[in-house]
Amino acid sequence: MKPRRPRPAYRRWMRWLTVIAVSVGVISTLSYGSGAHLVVRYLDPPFGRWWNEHEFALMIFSACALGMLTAIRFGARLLDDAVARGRSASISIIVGAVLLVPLARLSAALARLGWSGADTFDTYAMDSIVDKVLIAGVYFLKIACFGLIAGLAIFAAVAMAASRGAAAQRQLEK
Amino acid sequence: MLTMRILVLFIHVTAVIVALGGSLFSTFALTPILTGELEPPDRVKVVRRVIRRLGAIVLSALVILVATGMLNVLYVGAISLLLAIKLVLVVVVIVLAIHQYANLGAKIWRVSENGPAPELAPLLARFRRVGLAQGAIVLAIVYLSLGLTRVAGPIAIG
Repeated sequence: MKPRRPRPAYRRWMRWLTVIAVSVGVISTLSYGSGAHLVVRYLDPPFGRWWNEHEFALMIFSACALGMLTAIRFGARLLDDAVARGRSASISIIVGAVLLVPLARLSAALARLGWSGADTFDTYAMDSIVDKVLIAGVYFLKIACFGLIAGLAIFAAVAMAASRGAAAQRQLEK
Repeated sequence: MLTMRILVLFIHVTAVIVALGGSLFSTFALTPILTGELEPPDRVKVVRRVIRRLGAIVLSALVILVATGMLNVLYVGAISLLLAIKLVLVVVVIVLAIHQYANLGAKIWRVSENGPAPELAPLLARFRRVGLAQGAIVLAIVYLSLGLTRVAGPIAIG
């Protein structure tokens, strides 16, 4: 049996970040859609208040982060050079983290748009809990899709620079 | 009158022209001339530098395209079926561009470090094929965009 090669550090990081984004995203989306903050408020009023104020922000940030992380993971698979791959992924994660807030806000604004141009949250207040959870879920996925496009663009720019850096490093090593 | 919306659209269209125009010039004008005029060692030197510089230009243009494209959608104010198809094609184009410039381009750069090499020809052929596929998809996106600007409200032309 071949011994398993240790995973590069960036892959471990990306895995953990993806797990965190999915967990926070699922919890905040379910809570936002079902109005579960009421239960949290009942159990722990100070934390419930904080949760109620931030669950929407957590939902959009985790959705955008998930989209970007998926894009970076997919983009890294496109590169054959291990040095360039690791470098591109690591730098893309840092750039993505720096741009997360404005990108999440932009993606959230875009995800509200429906087919007809009407706000998809127009009738949200009147919908049933199941509808609300579904609408919030679709909203989460739409934000993640816009995050994915932005993440791919970030990775494309970084990968070009990183492949140059990897080539320069190889030349120096020679 | 120059509004923010027109400025964003102007930058968006300029980025398309730069990305598509650069690729078309390299594929249909520069490469055939280099093949006819230069000896293999000199041609390889020029080709690898062109690929690297063009990669930086095209991928930077793609970033600008995505950023201004997202703002444009916000200004248009609706996600139609045409736009959804366009967005899917944009993802395909970015993936192809990463493969073309950051993967194949980097390989070409490595392989051609010491002049012409036997494995260079298939890599260049692949690079060209991916570029052509990408160009065709970009043209489809441009066609869809014409539909979008004509369907959308305040910014519609004609």
